[in-house]
Amino acid sequence: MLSVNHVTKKYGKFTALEDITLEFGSGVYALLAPNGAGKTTLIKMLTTLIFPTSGEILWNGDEIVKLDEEYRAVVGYLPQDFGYYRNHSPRDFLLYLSALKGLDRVAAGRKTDELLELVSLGEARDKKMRKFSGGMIQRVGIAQAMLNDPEILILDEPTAGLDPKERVRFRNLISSLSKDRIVILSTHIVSDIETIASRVVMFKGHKLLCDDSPASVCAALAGKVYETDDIAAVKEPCLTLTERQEDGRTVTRFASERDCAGAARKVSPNLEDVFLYIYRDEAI
Amino acid sequence: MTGIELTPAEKERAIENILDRGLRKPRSLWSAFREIRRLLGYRFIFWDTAQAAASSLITLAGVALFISLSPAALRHTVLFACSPLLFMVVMLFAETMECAGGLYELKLTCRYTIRQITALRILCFSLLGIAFCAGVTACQAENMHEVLRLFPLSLCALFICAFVSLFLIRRLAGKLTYALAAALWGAIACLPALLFGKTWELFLLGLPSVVTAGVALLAAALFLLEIKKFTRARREEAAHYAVG
Repeated sequence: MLSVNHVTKKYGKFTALEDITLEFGSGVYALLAPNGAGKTTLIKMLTTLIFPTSGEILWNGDEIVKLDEEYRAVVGYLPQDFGYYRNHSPRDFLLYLSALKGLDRVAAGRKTDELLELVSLGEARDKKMRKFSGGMIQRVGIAQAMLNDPEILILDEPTAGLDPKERVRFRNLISSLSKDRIVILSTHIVSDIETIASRVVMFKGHKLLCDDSPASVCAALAGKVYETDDIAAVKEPCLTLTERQEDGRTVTRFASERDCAGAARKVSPNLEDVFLYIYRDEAI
Repeated sequence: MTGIELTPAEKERAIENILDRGLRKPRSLWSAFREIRRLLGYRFIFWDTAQAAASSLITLAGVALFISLSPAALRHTVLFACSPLLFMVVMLFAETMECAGGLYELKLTCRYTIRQITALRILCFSLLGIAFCAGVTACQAENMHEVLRLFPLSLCALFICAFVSLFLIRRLAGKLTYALAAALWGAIACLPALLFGKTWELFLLGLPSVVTAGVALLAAALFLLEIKKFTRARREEAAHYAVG
């Protein structure tokens, strides 16, 4: 169990995160918030790159900083800007990182081949990475994070720069990896986590806003989301969420605190609606 | 049922025994380095440093030319300034490239962090530096007596430079720290020569070998202490990489 207890992180007078308390068990945890909300700060604290100004982060009851390499041995991390060696093959690269992660050579060779197959890079394993697409590099990133078979897998904005097909492939991969381990995934792209997250953690104003299942998060907006192809007919105050084209008509999805059932059709809220509603005042 | 009665001394021993088994002892620097060397091997310790090595060789070619063209009257000044150059140049190129690479942050989260590996590398660079000092001394000295006089001076410069650089690097963590350390050595080595000219040369010439050897040993010990602190600097957060 990974516990974040009353953690605050300050940089001088700026408070990046304030009094955050969270508990992580097995499953996929999505840190969903706009850029600058503190997701990466939390992730960097969970990976011991930075330390809380106050509060504590515990792994099975022990402070992660004190556990030192014992903690790092159970963590797999994919940073937001994943650097790689352009002139090396993914196999060489993974063997190198296996050594840094303390795997012996035989185990490293076996694990590297196994993971490259898992991320569908088996055939490209000896090719130089300079020829790889963004999606392929990201898959190498996932593979390196899995080398030590981590109990905690931390992925910071893992789908940034991926095309839609790669995103789907990535989601499926994360879903398959999430059994019996903690997967913490930071994103501001709702579709990345809608189907795979067991819990959604949202921040607002550098504080924890919610930590709940996607269904419960969506329930917060139940009865307030509508769709109409004639938004002009809606006289109640409302917040436009999305617009889409359907049979030549513009269908507007909106949220309103008032009853708009006369002018629009009530629909079930999804995570994207909640996200847009909560962060309506912030640049996303 | 009564328990076994223990004397206070036996109780004390039992507690010590339990604590001894239960508490993890911190590994010594050498055992940590041995383990890293065993698991990583030199291939992975010096992974992707070929470019740095090539850059260092080119720089050293220039240094060799400078030494060979320097006037004999400034032999000690040049020896003092140039002895740490291999160490400094290799460290500057290898570690600056490492810090600038996109993997530094990731490598800080691995079981064996890049800081520990950097410390081991710096230690290796200092050994390389000793060999370089021997080479420079051999080029400068005209007889065995001079070798015995110049080699300690050369090592003295190397370890003062190594200690001061690491002291600075450990405190001013950042992507340009290695360049700052190199600039600092440039100032330490060149300023006295520029300010005092011939007096500085005479001062170096007049230093007894036992003094330079003693200072070299002291600086080497301080350097090793800095290496130890550098590897333990894990507890200092890497905010400049992680946040900046």
